[in-house]
Amino acid sequence: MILRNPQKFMGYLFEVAWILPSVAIPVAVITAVVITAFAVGLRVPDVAGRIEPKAIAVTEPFDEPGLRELAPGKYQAAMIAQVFLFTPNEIEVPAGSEVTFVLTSRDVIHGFKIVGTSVNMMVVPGQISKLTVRFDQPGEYLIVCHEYCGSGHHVMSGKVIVR
Amino acid sequence: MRGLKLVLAPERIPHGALRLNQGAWIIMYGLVALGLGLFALTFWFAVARPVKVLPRIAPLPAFALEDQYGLPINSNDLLGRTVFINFSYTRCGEDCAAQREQLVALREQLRAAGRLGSEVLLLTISFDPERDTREALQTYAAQLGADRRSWRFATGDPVELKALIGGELGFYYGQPDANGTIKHDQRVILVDSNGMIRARYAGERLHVQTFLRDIELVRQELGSSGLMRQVYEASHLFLCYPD
Repeated sequence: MILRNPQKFMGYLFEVAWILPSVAIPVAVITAVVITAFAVGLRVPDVAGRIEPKAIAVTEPFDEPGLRELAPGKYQAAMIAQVFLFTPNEIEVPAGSEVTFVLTSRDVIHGFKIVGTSVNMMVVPGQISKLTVRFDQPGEYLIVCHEYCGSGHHVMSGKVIVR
Repeated sequence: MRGLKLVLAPERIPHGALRLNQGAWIIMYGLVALGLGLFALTFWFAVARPVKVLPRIAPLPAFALEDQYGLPINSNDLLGRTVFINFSYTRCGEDCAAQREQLVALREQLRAAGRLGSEVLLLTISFDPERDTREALQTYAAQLGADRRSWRFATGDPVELKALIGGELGFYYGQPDANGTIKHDQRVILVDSNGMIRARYAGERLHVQTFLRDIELVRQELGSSGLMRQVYEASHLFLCYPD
């Protein structure tokens, strides 16, 4: 058998020496993912990106959702996603504005996509999603929830009007 | 084809080419064990987060303002000390009470520890320059019992203030209403001695205990050297931020 041939045996050992780590590494990575997801609790690292979903109504800036002018030409749009609407679901800004969208979800995971722009985010309960975009072209931009959130998912939309 | 056969068939391989001695095997498995060990160590470091750091959020934007005695104060003057900056206005009453209380508590704690002024500076930036004249700021400072070395009050050109607080830092404040009340975000930021913003406080975290913990975290990190310095860098890499 193989053991009678020392050279074959060495080749076999060599193979094992490579196979073992190539099995061990994915197993270790999957274990790491499972442990971080369930035992440690998956969450954003910076506390500034977290929010208590029950306290949305009393946490800035979601206590007064809507558009605010931070500086000339710079706006902050605080929006809350919930089944099956965005609050507010329509904002209006002048052309050339830089708008920072700040979102959180009241219930389940939602999506936030503004068609025709680079804005494409997940809105996760307990977390704050933030993205800044510049609107140079006047027009109406459709906001859609593109993360299936329930039976009314298809009606969950809003718009940005750029004048 | 002949060449391939030569490699795959062990009997054709020159004698001894594949025959590793015991030492070589020990080294090979040793390397594998070392790799797995490093992996386990990295995993433990990222999950257990034994060393915490504050994130490097952004450099403090440059500004040039004037303090309550008309002395210029700009962003470079703050280098070398840990600075807590809050954004408010002197007529702010109940809205700002909590924030004021926490900062005064911080001042008291630091004074007791003898670290006020030399190590830590407090800076209040008023976004109501029209009403917050030098006299108003001086009165306000006196009410809070602030001494000029450790707690400065500054304001400046409205356009520059709006660009700094709203534009650069992203904190909202509105126009004064009929009573002179200004709606604004309650925010305090921590700037380390290198001029880097390391923390933004709002809500429950705007508390003296968090301030003190963070002063200590920044002090330990910036005071480290050698291997410990690398460990802190690794903590940044693995986002080991405190809660």
